[in-house]
Amino acid sequence: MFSLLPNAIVDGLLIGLTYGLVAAGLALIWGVMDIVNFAHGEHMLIAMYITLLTTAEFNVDPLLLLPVNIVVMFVIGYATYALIIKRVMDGPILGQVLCTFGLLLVIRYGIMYVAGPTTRTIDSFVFAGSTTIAGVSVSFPRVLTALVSIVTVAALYYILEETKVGKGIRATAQDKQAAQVLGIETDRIYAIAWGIGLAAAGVAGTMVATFFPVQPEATPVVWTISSFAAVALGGLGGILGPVAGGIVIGLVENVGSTLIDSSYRQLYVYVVLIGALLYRRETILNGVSG
Amino acid sequence: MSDENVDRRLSRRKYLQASAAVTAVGAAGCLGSGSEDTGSGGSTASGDETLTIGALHPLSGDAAEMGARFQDVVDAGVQAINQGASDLAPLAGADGEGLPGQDGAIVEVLWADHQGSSDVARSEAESMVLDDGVDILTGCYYSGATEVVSQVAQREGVPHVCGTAIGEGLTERDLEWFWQVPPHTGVKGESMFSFAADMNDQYDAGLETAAIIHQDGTFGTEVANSMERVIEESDFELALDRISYSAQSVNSLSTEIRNMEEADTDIVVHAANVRDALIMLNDMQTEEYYPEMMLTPGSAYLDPSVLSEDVSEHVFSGSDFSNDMYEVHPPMGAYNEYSESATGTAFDGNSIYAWGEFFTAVAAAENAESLSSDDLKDSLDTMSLDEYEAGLPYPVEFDDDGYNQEAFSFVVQADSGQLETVWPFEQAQDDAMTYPVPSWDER
Amino acid sequence: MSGVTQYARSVADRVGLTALGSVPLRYVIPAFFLAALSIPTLETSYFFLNTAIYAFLFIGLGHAWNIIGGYAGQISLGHAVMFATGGYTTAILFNYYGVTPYVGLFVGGLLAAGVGLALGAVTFRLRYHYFSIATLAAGLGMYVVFLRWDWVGGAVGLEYSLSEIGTAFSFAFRDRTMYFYVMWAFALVTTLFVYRLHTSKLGIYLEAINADQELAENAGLSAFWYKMYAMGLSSFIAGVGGGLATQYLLYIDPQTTLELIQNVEFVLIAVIGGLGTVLGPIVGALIYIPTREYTRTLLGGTHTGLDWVVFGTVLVLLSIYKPDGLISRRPVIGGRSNSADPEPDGGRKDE
Repeated sequence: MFSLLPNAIVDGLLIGLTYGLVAAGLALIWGVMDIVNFAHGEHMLIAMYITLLTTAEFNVDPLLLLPVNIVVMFVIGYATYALIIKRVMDGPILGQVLCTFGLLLVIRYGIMYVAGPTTRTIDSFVFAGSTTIAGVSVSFPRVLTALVSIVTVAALYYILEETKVGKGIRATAQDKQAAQVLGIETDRIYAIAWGIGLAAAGVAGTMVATFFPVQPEATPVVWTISSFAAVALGGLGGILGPVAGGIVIGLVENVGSTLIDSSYRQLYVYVVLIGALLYRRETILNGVSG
Repeated sequence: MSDENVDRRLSRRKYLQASAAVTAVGAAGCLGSGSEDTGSGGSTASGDETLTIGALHPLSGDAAEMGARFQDVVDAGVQAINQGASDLAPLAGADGEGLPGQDGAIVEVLWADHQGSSDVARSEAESMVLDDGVDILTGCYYSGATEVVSQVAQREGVPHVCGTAIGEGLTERDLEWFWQVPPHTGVKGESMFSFAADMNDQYDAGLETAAIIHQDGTFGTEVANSMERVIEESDFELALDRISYSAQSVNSLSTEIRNMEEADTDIVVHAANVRDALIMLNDMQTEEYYPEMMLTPGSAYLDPSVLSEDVSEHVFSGSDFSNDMYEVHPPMGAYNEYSESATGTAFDGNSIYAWGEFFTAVAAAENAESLSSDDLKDSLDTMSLDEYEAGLPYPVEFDDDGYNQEAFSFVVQADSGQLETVWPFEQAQDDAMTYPVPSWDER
Repeated sequence: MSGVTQYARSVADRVGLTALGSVPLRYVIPAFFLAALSIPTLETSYFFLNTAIYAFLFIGLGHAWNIIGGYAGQISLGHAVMFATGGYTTAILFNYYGVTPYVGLFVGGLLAAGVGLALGAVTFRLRYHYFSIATLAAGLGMYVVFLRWDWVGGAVGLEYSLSEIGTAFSFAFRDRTMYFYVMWAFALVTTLFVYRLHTSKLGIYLEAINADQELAENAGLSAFWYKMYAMGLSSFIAGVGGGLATQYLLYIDPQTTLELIQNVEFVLIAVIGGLGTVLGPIVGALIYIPTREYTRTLLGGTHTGLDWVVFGTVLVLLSIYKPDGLISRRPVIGGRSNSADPEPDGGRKDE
């Protein structure tokens, strides 16, 4: 089995970068306003379906849809906050959990109702195909997806570090009241955070649709769980933590499948998730974790 | 018998009968030939008894498209009976309008979607028997649902004719009211590996090892169990422990493929749903791997959505259906044409089961003294149909456990989206088989 | 609060049966259960009886979830784990070892309690969200494992042999109305239990912890141990419920007990009906189960997903306007017995 290890590591890295991107989006929302978006995988599903349906209908290359989906998902995120999430912010945590959980159901089954329950794959992709490098087989769509993920994470990092909006987000995350005193409109910041967070998931969704078969009930769970695990591992203090966490998850999944037993692929992620929670137990009591 | 339990109040299903039965009967009425009084719809002219068949199948979720095809072929069957299709002889009940053996009684089919869930299947089955008074239950494609429905049948004393589930142990459960028509996974496995052995004998194929990879649902697990047993009893060896993956969340099988390749696998046996079949084929192409022989137990690999993809070319499968079976079994060709012209849906590797299931139930009614449960049971216990009478290419005769010992499977190969018989060699058309299978580069 | 919001709240309050809220529970509960006894005698279809059986089973299951979710405020998204543990235990003990389900149900409940306590031990020290995530992961993980575990039947499941049932020993009946009475009893016992809990020391402490954990801890309550206690009770009941469901179906497999939907149903019923209340799960089950059964067939026999879109929308709306469900909490201490109070109860975030 060890001869297959290099391949497993490459696979794990490639998909892990995308897990990381999705997790970064989740962490952004979670870190700024302490809302866990249980529907994160479903939001990603929206972008996936936009990509698949548009490509099938109009023969557009998925890469061209990237800017479209970024805008669309940003708008959806902003609107979700402004219309729905905002109203549960001041209420009990219970309400927040139920709210995003309800959204999970609405989005997932709404898509299923509209687009049907069958599995869809992309018809054709300019970069389809694969090659073998040094004994390791790599599929082009996956490599491209990983590259896009890296670029997007870098862009996110830049936004958070250098732009005014980004600094506003970080300030609000650190101390909401102080930020307000400084004249930052926290409400708008929250909406923007939702927008960016979902846009990140949207980028991931668009790219992943180029090689992943998509089905409304089966697909979102994997992404939601892996982003939770990545955040549990990497912490909420920024986006690099969750990205690193995502890479670890990708590696765990693939290396575990190769070395131990490929039949239990998802179980490794669940175990890591619960393990990460156990580890974090020591560092979290009641605040947002560092 | 079931009449005693039928509640005379309007059952919820009666006024939902939008589907098959009403349209078929209505269409039959409109298209009825000759001198019928249009008022009564024509087909009920000679009798007012109705054979009510309950059909429990997955009509939603991943299997929705397949379920819809089941409905279509059964609709065609209902039409053939109620309207009459004498040129489809020797198909049971097709001669003249209605069921000749039951004085022209018409057939209606009540459908229920069990959504792949056993408790829904059980509720629907009981409702069909107790509220709607069906005479015969049919279904359910999934083993779990079939087991539960057969229990209902046993408790209520209503026949359950199963033509769509191929689990191996289904008839070994001491049930008196359950009959299984198609060849079970064990028989199919034996055909598959007899084929492989024959390939060694006749074509020097040199096949020695096999690997089983399966989706983790009931279907995949059952098939894997049967295949493992068959392989152990044969001269072939397992190259590595069998591999399973999550039917729901699988997105890549590259790791599994590499593991099989490393273990020097000659024959890959893959029990899959449509989605994972496509993943497997695409990933095999990515990994530039193709075993000596890709030999599947059918199901997804017989589904049109897989066959329409280029990557499915040359895959071998155990099957009860092929597109060229009509050369060897002409009546099946006639049935296929009828179904296609009546509903637009031709037979395929899965829908043919639903056709056979329906006509076995019909044949049971045809040969029974009356439509009472006990008479239907006797008819099934003593059933001895020749081939094609039940709409299938083999005879139907049940052993003491209720299993159709005459059922057989053959082996087909995919060629440009069509399934061609390759085994038994005598039934294959000339030049049907492509072996050795060309590698990915050569295609 | 804007005028629209206020209007919406007042509508929601009215829908919340505040009038009913003024009738003491000790009359409502017996009246309801006595009336319910007549259900099997109604001349209706089997389908109706089956719906009633599941509805009463879910009253009990809703109570189970409510103990940890409503009273203690920990949103469990993995209660199917305890449900399935109870079901499988009962099935295995009977089918493999010939142990009567009367014992099997109890053992199943205990095992389920053990599993729940283990989950709680790991996660109760963390923030609320982590508990939900951990329970979700546990639920999905158990599904993956049970699909591959041959001893419990794997994906194929376990089937009861029909020749063994019908005796008193087997706790499985040929007559369906008996099952209704069993579920009725389950619902009654759990309702009475929660009624006692509501006014007991445990119940009050749980509500206090739920309302403000830090304050409660400062007052000397160990939030962790009380939540563990609640989790144990909740899991035990869920496990027994799982065993009862299995005795009804006479079959168990991972697909019917461990899928995401099974977890969601626990939450839906308690939330729709009313968290932290005695009547809540009753109302929730009586709304949800018939809706589920009838929409499944009324949508023409195809599960298009529309029903879940509706349930999801209901959850979202409830979370905004009435996070405590249709029946609002009765304050345990203090006078007012209606719920005109516009501020919802429940655990608050720290500012």
